[in-house]
Amino acid sequence: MKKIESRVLGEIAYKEILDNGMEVIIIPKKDFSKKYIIWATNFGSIDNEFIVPKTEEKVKIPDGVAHFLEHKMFEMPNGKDALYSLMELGVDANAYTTSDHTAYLFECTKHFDEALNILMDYVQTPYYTDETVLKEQGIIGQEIKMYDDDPFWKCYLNSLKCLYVKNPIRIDTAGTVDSISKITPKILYDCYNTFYNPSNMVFVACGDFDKDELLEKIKSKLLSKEDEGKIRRIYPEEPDEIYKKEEIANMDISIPFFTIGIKDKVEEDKKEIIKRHLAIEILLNYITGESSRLYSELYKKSLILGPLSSEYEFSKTYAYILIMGRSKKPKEVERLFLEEIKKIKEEGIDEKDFSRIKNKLYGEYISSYNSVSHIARNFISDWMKGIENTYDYLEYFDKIDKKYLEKILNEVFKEEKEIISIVNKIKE
Amino acid sequence: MVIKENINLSKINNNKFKTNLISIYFTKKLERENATKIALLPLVLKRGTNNLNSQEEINKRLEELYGANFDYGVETNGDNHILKFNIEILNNKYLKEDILKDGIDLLFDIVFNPYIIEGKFSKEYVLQEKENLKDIINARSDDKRAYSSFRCVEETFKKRPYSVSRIGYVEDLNEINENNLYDFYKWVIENARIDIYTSGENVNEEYIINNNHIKLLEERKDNFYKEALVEEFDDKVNIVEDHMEVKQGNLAMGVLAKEDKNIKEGLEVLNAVLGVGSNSKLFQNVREKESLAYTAGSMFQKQKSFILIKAGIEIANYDRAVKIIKKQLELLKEGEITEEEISAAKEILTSSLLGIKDEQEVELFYKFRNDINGNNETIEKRIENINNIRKEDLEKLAQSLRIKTIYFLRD
Repeated sequence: MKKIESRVLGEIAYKEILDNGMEVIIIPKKDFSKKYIIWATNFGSIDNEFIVPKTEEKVKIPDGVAHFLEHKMFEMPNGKDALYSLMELGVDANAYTTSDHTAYLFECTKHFDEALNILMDYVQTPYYTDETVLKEQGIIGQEIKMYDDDPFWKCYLNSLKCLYVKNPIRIDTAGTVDSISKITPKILYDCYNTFYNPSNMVFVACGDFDKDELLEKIKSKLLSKEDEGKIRRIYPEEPDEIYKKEEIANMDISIPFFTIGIKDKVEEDKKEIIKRHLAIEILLNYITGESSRLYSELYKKSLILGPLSSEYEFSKTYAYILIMGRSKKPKEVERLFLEEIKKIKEEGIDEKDFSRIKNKLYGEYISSYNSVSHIARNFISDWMKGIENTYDYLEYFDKIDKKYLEKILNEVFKEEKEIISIVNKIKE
Repeated sequence: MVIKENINLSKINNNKFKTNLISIYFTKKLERENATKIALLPLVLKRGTNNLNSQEEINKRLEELYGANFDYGVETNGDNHILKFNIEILNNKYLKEDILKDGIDLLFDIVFNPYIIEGKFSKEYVLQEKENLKDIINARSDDKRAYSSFRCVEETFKKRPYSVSRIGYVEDLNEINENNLYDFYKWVIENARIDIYTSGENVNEEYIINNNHIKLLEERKDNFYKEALVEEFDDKVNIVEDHMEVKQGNLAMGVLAKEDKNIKEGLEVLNAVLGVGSNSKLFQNVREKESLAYTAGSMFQKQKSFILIKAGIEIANYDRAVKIIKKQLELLKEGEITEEEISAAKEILTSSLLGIKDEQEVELFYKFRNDINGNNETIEKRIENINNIRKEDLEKLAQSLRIKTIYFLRD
């Protein structure tokens, strides 16, 4: 297996691309009781238009299929639900769907071999009937309603709707009660056959493993599948501009939620994107972090409820920054935020602050290797983005200098790329 | 080790983490009259010390220490109110400098050396944090699931310590000021039980024992409940409804149980059979078979022998959901429990126990809860006790289950 190593971390990962095209990544962690497995496919909520390889048919699927498929995966032809089979063993099993991938995972301290068998069995066994589809529409309908009542989720989703004109990232992963009513077993099989192909999938394992032994176990349980051919995804052309500057919703809450978004361009170079990502993380800390001048001001004026949460999300068709928080006056927070960016652009980056924040992120990055689940999820997420070596993040800290930071500040943090989504109290 | 009476220090050695973690806990009785002050304290303490007068300075210091993570919280355990403060610091071996002592000193500076002006807390800080606490308390009602849990417990244990809100009450805030809060703070430092824990590789306990603030602490009496209070309940079932603008209903039931000291972990297993994981009765019969709920399960509070049942349901399905949940409790009483359900419950509990040592804070908090409750059972012994539970034990314990409150949050 190919070995990648971080001397600083004292961590090693092993990678191998199998004959069927699937990549396996094993990160051994000695002395940990928990073992974490994620098996994921590069099929997410943004993949709603594609060409079926065998038939060359151009297909547009209803919103929410990837998520629906994820729910149905666990159902087996013998009527048993694989999730229950796993949980019977005390294994913490789950699945999730994001914009660019669907993942099936489990974490266990006992019964690893049995759990692995069950996982590899159910993910490779698609089984959908009219009856099971109907039942799931009820359950997912409840889930959609639960999220409809969630102000945080609504605020987040609306921010994506403001940032993006056409990109399907602006659609709720679960779809709507209406869109999922149009899902049929045929649609599910078509998607499964197209996207759940080994060459489109990655298997990540983190825990106290013997890597060679585990690799053999995985290989032995893979069903031989015909290569369905290269997947051709159709994404709409997305303009550089944002869609709308703001969106305001009203819900029965006490303190408004807000999400400030900034639309970024997609960086194609996989090494460059790591640098860009790091620089943006540093900038977000610099501008809005707990030691920042802005945070201190917002706090003193009672404009925010606790620290702001920020992230830079990107994949092959989108890249954006989100800054989330709660405030009685979200527009005022936005105003001060934009003003602060202007100020920093004029003043330039302070070396001392920059150096301190770099140390902070460096320490946090190393600390994240305390958790097998965090490590596995990082590797999956990076794989989906086309990043080959997750450890590069640690190596690239030194490549970020004041000049590069200022370049990214001016290039990315632009007012015309900024939006705000707010969830307000219901007006009396 | 005991530093002085009711001031304890425990060290957990491990080599597998990148960080060292130091936790300090303050424990006192849950009391309605000072619950809000307790909740306010950590918010004010984190605003500044006599060395680092502002939050900004504290945060800069944490960043300098390679992103050291300072965390604080307010918890309850049985009828006790607990303040916790942690610092997580990158292990020195990843750096060319020693930051452990600095990290420990910073933790104790925040906790024991708050920013004081003219013999009291900063008026500005107290005023602002009162506003923040008010927002935090109000924010709880935005999380419908958390709110319905809180309300169900509040109704079940009305007027008893366990009903006291861990994060306090908005109506108390007016009369709290920098004077009386500082007086109360001093009382806590002098009278609460203090437990300090360290986790990591090569944590030098001398840094703690020789810290000036620790040296100045004096012994204190027991001002906490060594055992949870025994509750007396009448036969009445409380039906409570709250109204908010929601699309989905939140149903919560407060169920009382009676522990049997000869059946160790019995109620824990019974609760797991009832509502933990996808093999449990609630998940299977409320969510799966009836499609009534996206979430359905139960939680167990050991010290109070209390089970909280939760389900997120369509408002129109209230009657049906209540009926089916009641049926699950009946099934337990009738001994209608399958071997698969018991086995799954045991597996979920034991797997979870085995994972405790994989997270520093979880491990420390687990040890602390054991210490506070005078329990010295190892994880291995607990697993053994769980595995020894038989169906007859569960049926016996189920007889004591009694619904005390049915709470519904709806439109």
